[in-house]
Amino acid sequence: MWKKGDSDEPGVPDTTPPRPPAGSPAADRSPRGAREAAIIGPSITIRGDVTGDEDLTIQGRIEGTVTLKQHNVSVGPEGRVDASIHARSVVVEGEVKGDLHGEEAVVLRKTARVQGNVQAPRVTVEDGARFRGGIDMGEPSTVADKAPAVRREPAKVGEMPPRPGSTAAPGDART
Amino acid sequence: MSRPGHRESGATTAADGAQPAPGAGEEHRSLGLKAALAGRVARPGCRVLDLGPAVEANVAFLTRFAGHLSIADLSDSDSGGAGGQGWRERLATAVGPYDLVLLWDILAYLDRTQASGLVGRLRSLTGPGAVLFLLINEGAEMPARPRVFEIRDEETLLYRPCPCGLIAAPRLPPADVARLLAGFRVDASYLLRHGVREYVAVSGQCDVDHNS
Repeated sequence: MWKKGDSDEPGVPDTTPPRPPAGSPAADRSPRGAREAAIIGPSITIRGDVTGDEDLTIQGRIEGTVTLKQHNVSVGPEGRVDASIHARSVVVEGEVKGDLHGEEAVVLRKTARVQGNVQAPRVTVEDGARFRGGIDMGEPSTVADKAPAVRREPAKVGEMPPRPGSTAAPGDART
Repeated sequence: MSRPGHRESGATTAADGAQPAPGAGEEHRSLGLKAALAGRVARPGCRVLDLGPAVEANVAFLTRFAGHLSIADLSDSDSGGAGGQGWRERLATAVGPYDLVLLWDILAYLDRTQASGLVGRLRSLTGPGAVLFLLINEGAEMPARPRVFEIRDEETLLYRPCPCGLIAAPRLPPADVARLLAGFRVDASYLLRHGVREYVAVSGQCDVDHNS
């Protein structure tokens, strides 16, 4: 119903998955090498639980759950998911109402609209993304083992980023 | 146009109705933010509630130490966020207790009843010792919509340009703010040169101890 090659079916628009932006978890690591992700095309609606053993790009609609813990899940700009997603990495460009669990990372692109909770050791929310919910980074004891957030320099746990020469008195303002 | 007390970062100015580019705006030192993050509040694993929009830099900064970060954007007036009772719906699913709440400048966009209701809700979401950080523009005018603030570091905020025009600012002197923050004690406030006063309030203590 939603495997690769669905785009050959009459009446189903091209469902070529968007190429993950460079640097994204989906682009950096592909568990199947050059194998392409399975695609749920824009005209497809699935109600129920989606499981599998390959990467998945969602351009259509899913109501239920998506569980691909060893693989990457992308929700394309037209994708709409009313479900929780469990995957190795989750990249959202479309709309999700549900919780996102990433074993490695969750990335909300600038076009993302997400209502739910995010749980992953690395979470990136790009400017422009509309997000309402919670972000759980894990237990405090494991924070030190986590990679720093994307585009940020590493910081030691429990230590605020340093700012040399910060000795201004109250009421002072930078000019 | 430059005013005393700020420096501009980025060359772009958003056109009317457009989203300002990340990194564009006025950069100001924030003694309030520094105070809010000091001490035990910003310890590893703490719980933070951000009542502004999801800003990439803020998420990256806060998740360096926060074990849990909740985002409930009350500044999105288009969706009834700050105005009316929008905050009730936005905070309906928030689960406390939080150690740090970033209220930003939302309070000035609510009437007294709404503001009191919001503060009461925040009180229920925080335990004793939790810190509330907010800003009030003490000038005659303020942007028509709540500003978007970008945390540059623990004592620097970038005020992103608001392409929404100016409106008359409500008169909220420190004593009124302290009263509005019932259930919190104003631990410190800092009047900055650009006319914004930053407040750091602590929950669970009702005495008014106003500094500066």
